Amino acid sequence: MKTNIILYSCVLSLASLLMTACSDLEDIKPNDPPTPVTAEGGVFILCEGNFNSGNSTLSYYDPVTKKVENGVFRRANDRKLGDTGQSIAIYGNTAYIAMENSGIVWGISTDDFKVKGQLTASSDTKIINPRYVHKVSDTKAYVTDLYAHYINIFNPQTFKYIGSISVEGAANLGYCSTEEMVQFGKYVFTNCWSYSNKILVIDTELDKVTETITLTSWQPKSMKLDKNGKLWVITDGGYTTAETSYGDNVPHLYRIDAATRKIELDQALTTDEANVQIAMNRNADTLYIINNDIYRMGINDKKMPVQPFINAPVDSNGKRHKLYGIGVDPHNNEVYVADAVDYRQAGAVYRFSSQGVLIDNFKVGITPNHFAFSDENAKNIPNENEDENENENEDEKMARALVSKIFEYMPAPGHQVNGYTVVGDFIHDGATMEEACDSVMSHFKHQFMVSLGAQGGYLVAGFDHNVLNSNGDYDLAIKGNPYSYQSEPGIVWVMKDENGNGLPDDTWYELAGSEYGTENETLDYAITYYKPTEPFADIRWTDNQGGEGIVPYMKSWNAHESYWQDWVPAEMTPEGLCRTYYGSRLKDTHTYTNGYTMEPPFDWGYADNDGKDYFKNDNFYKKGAMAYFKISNAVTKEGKPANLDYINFVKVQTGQTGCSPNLGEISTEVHGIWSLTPLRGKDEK
Amino acid sequence: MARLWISFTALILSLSIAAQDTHRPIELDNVQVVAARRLKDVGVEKTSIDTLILHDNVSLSMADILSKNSTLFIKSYGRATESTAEFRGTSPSHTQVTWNGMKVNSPMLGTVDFSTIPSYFIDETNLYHGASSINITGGGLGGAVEMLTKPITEEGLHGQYVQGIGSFNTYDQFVRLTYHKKHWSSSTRVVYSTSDNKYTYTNYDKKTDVYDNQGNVIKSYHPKEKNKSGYFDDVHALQEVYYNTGNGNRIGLNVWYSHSKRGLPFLSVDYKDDADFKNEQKSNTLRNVLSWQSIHEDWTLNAKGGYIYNEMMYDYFTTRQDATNSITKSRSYTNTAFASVNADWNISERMLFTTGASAYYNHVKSSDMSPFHIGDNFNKGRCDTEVNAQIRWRPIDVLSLAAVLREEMHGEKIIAPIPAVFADVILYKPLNLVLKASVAKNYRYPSMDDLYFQPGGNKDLLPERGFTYDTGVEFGIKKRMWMLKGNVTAFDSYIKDWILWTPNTKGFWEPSNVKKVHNYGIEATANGELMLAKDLKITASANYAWTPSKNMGEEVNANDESYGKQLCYVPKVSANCNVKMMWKTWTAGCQWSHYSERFTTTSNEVSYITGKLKPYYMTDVSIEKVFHVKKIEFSVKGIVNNVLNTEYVTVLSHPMPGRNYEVIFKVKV
Repeated sequence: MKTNIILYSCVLSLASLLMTACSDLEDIKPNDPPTPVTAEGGVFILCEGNFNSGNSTLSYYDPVTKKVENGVFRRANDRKLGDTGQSIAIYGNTAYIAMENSGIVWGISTDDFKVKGQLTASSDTKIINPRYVHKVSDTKAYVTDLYAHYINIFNPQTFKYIGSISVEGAANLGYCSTEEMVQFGKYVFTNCWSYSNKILVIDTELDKVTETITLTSWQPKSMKLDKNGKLWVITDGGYTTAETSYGDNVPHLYRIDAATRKIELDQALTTDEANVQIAMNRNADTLYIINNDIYRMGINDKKMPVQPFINAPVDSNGKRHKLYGIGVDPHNNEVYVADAVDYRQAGAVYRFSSQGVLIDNFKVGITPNHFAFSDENAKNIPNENEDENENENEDEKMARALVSKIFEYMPAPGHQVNGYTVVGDFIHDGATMEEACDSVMSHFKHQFMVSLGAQGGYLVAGFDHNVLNSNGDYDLAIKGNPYSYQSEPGIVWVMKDENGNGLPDDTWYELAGSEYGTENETLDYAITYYKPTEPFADIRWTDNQGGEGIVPYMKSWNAHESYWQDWVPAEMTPEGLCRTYYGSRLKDTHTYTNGYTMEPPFDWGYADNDGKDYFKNDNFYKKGAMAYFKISNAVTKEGKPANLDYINFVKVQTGQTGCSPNLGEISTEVHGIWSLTPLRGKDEK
Repeated sequence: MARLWISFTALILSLSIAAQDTHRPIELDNVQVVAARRLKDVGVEKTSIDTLILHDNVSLSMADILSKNSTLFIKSYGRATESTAEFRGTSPSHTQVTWNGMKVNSPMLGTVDFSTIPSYFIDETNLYHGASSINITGGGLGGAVEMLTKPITEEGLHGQYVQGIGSFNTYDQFVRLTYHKKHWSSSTRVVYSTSDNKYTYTNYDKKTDVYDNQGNVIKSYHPKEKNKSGYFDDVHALQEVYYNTGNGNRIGLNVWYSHSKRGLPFLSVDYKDDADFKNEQKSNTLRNVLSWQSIHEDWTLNAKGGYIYNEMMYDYFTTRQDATNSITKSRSYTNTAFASVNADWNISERMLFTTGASAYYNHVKSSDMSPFHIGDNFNKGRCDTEVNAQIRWRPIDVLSLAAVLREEMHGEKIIAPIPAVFADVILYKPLNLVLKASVAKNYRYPSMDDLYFQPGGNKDLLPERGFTYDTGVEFGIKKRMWMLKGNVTAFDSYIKDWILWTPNTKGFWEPSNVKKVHNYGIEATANGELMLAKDLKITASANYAWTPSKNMGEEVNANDESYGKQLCYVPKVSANCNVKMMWKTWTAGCQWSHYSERFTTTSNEVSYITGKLKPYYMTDVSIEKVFHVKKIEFSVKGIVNNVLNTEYVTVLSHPMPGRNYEVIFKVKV
């Protein structure tokens, strides 16, 4: 019996041993070491992970190779980054990463991601939950904190703790949270977020809070300093719930003079569920703001533009992506935007050119929230003497000046609209108006051609800033594709956003050109196009002057079965489906001789017209000519000067009804519309 | 620890000598292995855990019991930390829990923390899987756990004292006094558990660098660290009194009070000092049930009234002088009044009709203080009522059918009826082979946090709704020297409008109906006993579950890669096996449990180092010696948990203890 007992015991023990042979933790072995940083530098993306999970990670993106490497901290150091990564800042070749819920600030090499030092929330410091790091000098750096009533000071080279600055009273209800920091001279400013409406001013020589700036709304969340020494601060507005209230949910944007501490601008924003954040470009003269979409704003603008610079991505099913973080590469002003998806999986990062054109998108860690760029702080120090645009390249210049949104794309029938393949299959069959407008905007960002179709066809575009009337100087530029023998002039209209709702629903004023008021231009003109009932057919038109004609079907130009656009609203009449365009008409001046068509330009004042205002402007766009326009030429319906101080919207409309046998209908083409306001003072003409 | 192990070994050896002259009868358990199932259990997928298992180890909570003896997945951060139970890959709020007929799910959260329920306080537990939960309550989209205490049947005055001493300065004390005579019976139980719980583990999430004089790293290693802030101090008292009239009527009163003070363990990536910071949760809970049961030949009537009070206090505070002492805190106070009446009517030998109604009035006051919010979260009352009717019918000997219909009302909102149908067919009587099937539609109404919590609560939430199909076979064979029974069930279930809390861009969390989840899989259990000799028996039980639980909901946006992926932290495979060998007064046991890998991201990302938790296999062994001195029964039990010192985590950045020891002394009079 005893033998049996021993036997059974052995069997049991063996079974249990076999069952436990492979136990392990999560995969603790680091993967391959990350690739060292490239000489040109790259993008460090801090992913905060999930609270209380310790799965914060650091990703590195090489903009040249478009290669992304995730989890580089763990891979380089065989340890976890920590819990709830809050921020990353790069000074020289050291990146300082504040890990909020781990109570540690890492210093890592930007060359190989290896740990160079660390500062922890040990008993000999006053750190609790570190939020941001700001390097004051080579021997002194500040760390803000969510819970501590102090800003902690350490040596950024040795990571030795130095001391602390009391921020008692910075906020209410027992909290003294301090957040981002910017430095102006010897003063460091920090915004106090939780239950606060204050900006603290710290004298770095005394390491002491010397002044406080009080805002009109609650919870300043993000702050940057521009080249003119102005603080830009955005609040989230606090919150109002059914049970309690601390603020009103309305974010505000402030501009504060860092020298006088005076609030110079206070704009209430229009959304309440926004992850409000500010980023600044290389020259510290342009703000990028997340407020559901991405807005771009010049530091001299009086208010945040109504039109986004980059719309939050929207899926085909209408789902709008919630943006979580933003960064602007100081080397080239490219914009990086984070999408946290569901906060429990790999987040996505979108990389846009300085013009807002999507360049790349890639997956990183969980909940990407903060970007840093190699040696960004060395390049981003505001310099009073630096020419604001001195280092700006052509593309950046153009991006800042381009219209930010297309509101309507209403081409009249034409062979360069439906399925026209010269610049790609422009608008697909069954497109919606919104999709058509997005396509136009995308074309403009690449300076691709957009045809307005036959007479009356138009598009309406808006700027993200006020385009100022320079009273005699050129204010707008529109690129077309005229040749000396072929112009297809379009009439330009402008509108001021008088009711301030951001929509082109106020009064249009025509920019009078050389033909305005002469017999060559017919005002109050209306033209109606009739949808053909058969495919591959001409499209008939009539006008309110008793005229009629066709837009010919020209298979040799475009074999699409119809030149009628379904996204353009139309109405049913006894004569069938039709649509009518209103505006002004320019006289048809084309000639057709021996197989050649001549379409001479008018003198000046029209888009896609090789007039004397179509030229190269070396201070704006050196690569080619554009037509330039003056807001001071705007006229009322009665023909009187409109005297607009600025405008926000532009409409370009095909002006002529002509049609030649070999080229078909005359249709204005547009490659982009730009404002000269951001570049004021730099134009030659 | 070595000293403890030597003492333990010496103790066992000395007791083995004392055991020579003591015996206890060892025989096959008198388990029911018959095909003639009770009408009440027609088609029901039920796992029962009896007193022997529940009272096996004084240091165990119900979370441990369920983890080691069922197919439920227990998500736990370690002993005395929040531990929730999930059936079939559903969420913890999809597990409905009753104690003596009264729902004990938190009306605020919708969940139950099983770590706060000492297994010694429960005499019987029944797990109703999937559709079967509708037999006892609605809202159990995953299933239901029924916990019962039983009246004493042993005449006279008896007492029991259990002392557990374990690693990490852990002490468990249990005392029970019972009295039963004719009409009256009384039971008083008290458990008191304390521990520093500062176990040592190798922290693979940190690394210590050693520098030379020039500041170069010359050596790095993963440090050995202590579990910080894992302490607990829990006391429970349960008083039960029953009066049996002798004519089929019984009146009972159960009063259960518990007080708990627990540290919430620091993360393995937390660099703060636990001497400076406390992360602590305290609770006081009082549960009372007054019951009247009237049993007659053809009908039975049960009426119950109850009351639950719970206060939860969470504090994160520092003893340092550089911050407000209280960094964050939250408070919640819950009052629940309960009444129910249920009746069974045996219409004939082949037909049983059951009906019942219950009402709960819940009032919750919740407040918190954090950088995101200060003040009341909500202060609300809600009445939840329910009526049900059930009919069970056996038209022929081999076929039984049942139908259940429930109707619930929450506040002023009536949710759609909850129907379920069940069937049993005896396929082969010699093996007691029975085919079972059921189909049910179920709803779970949002918790009060889901609806009212500020900031974030969403009053427009819809009830979660699920469809479940179950089918399976069970069998049972009992011979003179051995017994074997088991069952295998396949299930298929869809849950729509799954409520999920996600952070918004402003920093706080909001619930919404977003997910559609498809759970399917197989559950199997087996129990066997083998008499090897007159005084030698081996028993074994095993549970196995294969549970793909996939998100089939609409993508958040085009970057969402979670569609069709396994839900976070839900293992596809879980299994456990318990083997005991009893020889005379000795019992040796081995418990083995296994969880397959668990993903930590909704997209099941495996390129992240933290993207998945590796599978683990856990083995505990024990040996117990019972001996008698006159009418006093003594026993000593030695337990080695995690005998192979496996390093594992059940939740990211929360390392679990390695090998640890317990000695349990029992005295029973």
